[in-house]
Amino acid sequence: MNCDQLRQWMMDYLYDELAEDDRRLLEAHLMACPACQQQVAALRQTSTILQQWEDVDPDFHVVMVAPKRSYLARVKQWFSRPALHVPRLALGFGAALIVGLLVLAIANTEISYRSGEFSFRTGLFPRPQQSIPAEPILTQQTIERLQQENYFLMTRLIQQSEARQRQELATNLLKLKRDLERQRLEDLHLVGLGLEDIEQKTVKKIERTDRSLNEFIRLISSQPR
Amino acid sequence: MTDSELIASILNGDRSRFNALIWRWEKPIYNFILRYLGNKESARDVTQKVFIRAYKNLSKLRDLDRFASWIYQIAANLCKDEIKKHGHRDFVSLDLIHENCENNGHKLPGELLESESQQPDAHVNRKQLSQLLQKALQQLPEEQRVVIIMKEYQGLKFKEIAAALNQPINTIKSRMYYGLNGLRKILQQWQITEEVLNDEL
Repeated sequence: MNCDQLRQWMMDYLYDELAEDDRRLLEAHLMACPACQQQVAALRQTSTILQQWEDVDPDFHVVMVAPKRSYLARVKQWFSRPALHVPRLALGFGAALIVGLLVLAIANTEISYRSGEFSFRTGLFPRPQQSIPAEPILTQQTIERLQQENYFLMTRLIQQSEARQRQELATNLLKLKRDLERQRLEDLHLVGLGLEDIEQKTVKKIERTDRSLNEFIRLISSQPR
Repeated sequence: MTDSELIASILNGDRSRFNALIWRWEKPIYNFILRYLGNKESARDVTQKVFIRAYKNLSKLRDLDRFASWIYQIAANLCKDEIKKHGHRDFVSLDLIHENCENNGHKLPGELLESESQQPDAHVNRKQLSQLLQKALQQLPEEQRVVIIMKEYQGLKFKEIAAALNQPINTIKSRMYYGLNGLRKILQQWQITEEVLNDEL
């Protein structure tokens, strides 16, 4: 082995990935070659220094949350499971048959109420159609009669409405009259109270003036001439 | 339950088991992406995208025993897309490795590490070291960086890395060799040696 060959195997040797026989050959060369020995030692030292750098714990956690799948997607997935033993075709056919029967039944469902009794038919075996009696034909006479009846009805309605409105108006006017009368009496009472108050105050003033005048006259009378 | 068994049950219809798969792989995938991109926020986003894509495409996985290569392939592709979309984002650099900072007296990171440890109240912790190595890794070309990360930190075999990156195995070994040598020179330049680290840590 020469130095170039050793260089090709150096990495495998450094990281213990060299086959046993090749390792022995390489080590034999190293014993005899100080330059290669020095190089291997230097690289081993570098590797040792690198190993001092320890892993750190991430300050977060990744959590995978599966997205919500629609009902259809879940059904699809259930059908595609490899562990499913029942033939898919048979299951699908069975499901389609049931759905088809239901649709037919719902489309022809008949529910009726007669003489106090309910009757229900799914429609799978629909009963034959019964004949429907013909409607009477409308004559001109009938139409005129109906128009007249409508006219009388409308007139009566209008009259009743007018009477109701008059009644409501009379009631409201009476109520207004009563309110006005009550208000008038209250105002008169207040005016009366006010006049009484003024009268009393005036009387008191006059009495005070009278007392003052009497006092003055008495004083003048008592003065020596 | 192995990964293959878990995946088989998921493909058989029990999709809720995918979360068990996530919990198993969340940390290694996140750390792979974090080392690749060098940015926490991007790493968080891309990690989520990896699992979303894996969830959607799980049925396309032919060989269940090759799940590791498959998921790292997704992760590597998404990281490449992320870099193309947003460019190369700088990670937050340490005060310790401001190489041209006047306060540090233009000291190299290795010297700073030594001098820091000699101060009574200072300590070099693993976080500083990881940021230092992150910066060193970011100096490498992307194709070498990803191989180094997959080999050194994800523990993949060379043939698994080749499968994940869709490259010939010799190309992978060659990139590993040049990547390791590149890192060796950077660390040498910064005077970061095994002895310094042994003393500090």
